[in-house]
Amino acid sequence: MGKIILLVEDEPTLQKTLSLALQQEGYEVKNALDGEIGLKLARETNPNLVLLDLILPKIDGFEVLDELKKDDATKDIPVIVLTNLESTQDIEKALALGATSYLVKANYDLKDVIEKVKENIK
Amino acid sequence: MFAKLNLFKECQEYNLGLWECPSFIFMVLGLVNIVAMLGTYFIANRYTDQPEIVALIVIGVSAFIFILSHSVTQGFDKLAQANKMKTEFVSIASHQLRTPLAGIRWTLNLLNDGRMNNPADTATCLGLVKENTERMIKLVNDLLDVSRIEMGKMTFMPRQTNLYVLAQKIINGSLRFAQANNIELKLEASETLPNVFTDPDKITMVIQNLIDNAIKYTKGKGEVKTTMEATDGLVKVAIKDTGVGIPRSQQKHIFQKFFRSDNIMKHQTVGTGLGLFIARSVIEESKGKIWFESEEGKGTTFYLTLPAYK
Repeated sequence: MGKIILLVEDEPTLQKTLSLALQQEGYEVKNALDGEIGLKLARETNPNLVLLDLILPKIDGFEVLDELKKDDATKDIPVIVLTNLESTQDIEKALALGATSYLVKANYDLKDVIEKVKENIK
Repeated sequence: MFAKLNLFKECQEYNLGLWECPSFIFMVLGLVNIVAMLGTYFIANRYTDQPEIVALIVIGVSAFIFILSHSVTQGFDKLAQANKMKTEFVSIASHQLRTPLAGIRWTLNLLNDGRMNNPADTATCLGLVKENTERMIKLVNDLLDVSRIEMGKMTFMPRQTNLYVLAQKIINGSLRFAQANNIELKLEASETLPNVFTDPDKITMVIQNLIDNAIKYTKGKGEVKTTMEATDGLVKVAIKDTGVGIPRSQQKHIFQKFFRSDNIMKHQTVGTGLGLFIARSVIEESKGKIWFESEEGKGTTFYLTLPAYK
């Protein structure tokens, strides 16, 4: 059975391109366009990894991350933060909340992101 | 070397008024000091029997110097603040540019890695690249406008302009975007509306921006109504929507650069936060006014007035 990746990303272009590339790598991709749906899908589908944007409608990425890590059912799912924010504060905050890795979108090619996914997926 | 001596030019470059500009005030301080010392010397020589006159002059000069020094610190404060704003500006702008850049990069990755196998997918990819490129161009243009406004170098070419004709064009161009969002666009104005004296390209940008916002922040079926009327030598434009509204606590920030209301972020994270800042600058440049009334959950009406051309 294919592994499930939950992609929480509100930007249509990034969501389309990344989910397509992940599908071609053989992963099953669940898409969430805002934080609320992201949390809901994380609880329902129990994904093997979450790719999480930080600036999101409804509930922002930090809060999603916090909720995921507080809940016993979801706390062991690796979360890779995928964002365009890169202040030291944001990075420290995300890592302190339990993010596995922190990537600045514009600085990575798709294949680098997929590489990170392969490294961290459980 | 001599360029340094041209204080006026320097003050102009920093966009500071003369009495806020530290280098100018320092020069004045120096001159006042020299004159005051010489003056005090001559007066003290003449009125040797009345030391209180000299004391008064010294106190007067000190007070003057004290006031001038205060302006110097204010000038420095203003420069420091401008510097801080520039840093923030660069950081926010680069963050906003990164999203479309990442979009272009990843789409090109897909094409380049041979992941797109049929012509339809390739066409979709090219469409995405185009969309993101346009978004970046819009952002860069907005940023340049803001920078020109702040340097006081906005090119403004006013001429007689009919707002009704202009609004008709804008609304016709926005019909498809409105239909896609289930919004009905309405325009009400008398065809004998007096002309105004303004830069038509700039004012088009403002009205387009207000109508786009009204459409974007109306969720579900709704209506955006533009009305124009002449009152007391002014042309008044109102753009009324039935959208999400602006929360009371955020209303005072709405014209600030990069400000985006919390409740619109819940609906949509795309947007530069520059449109209304630019709008206000353009309207003020045309000797007009812009303001709004809004109630959260009910809708927003933006108003602007421009002096009618006589």
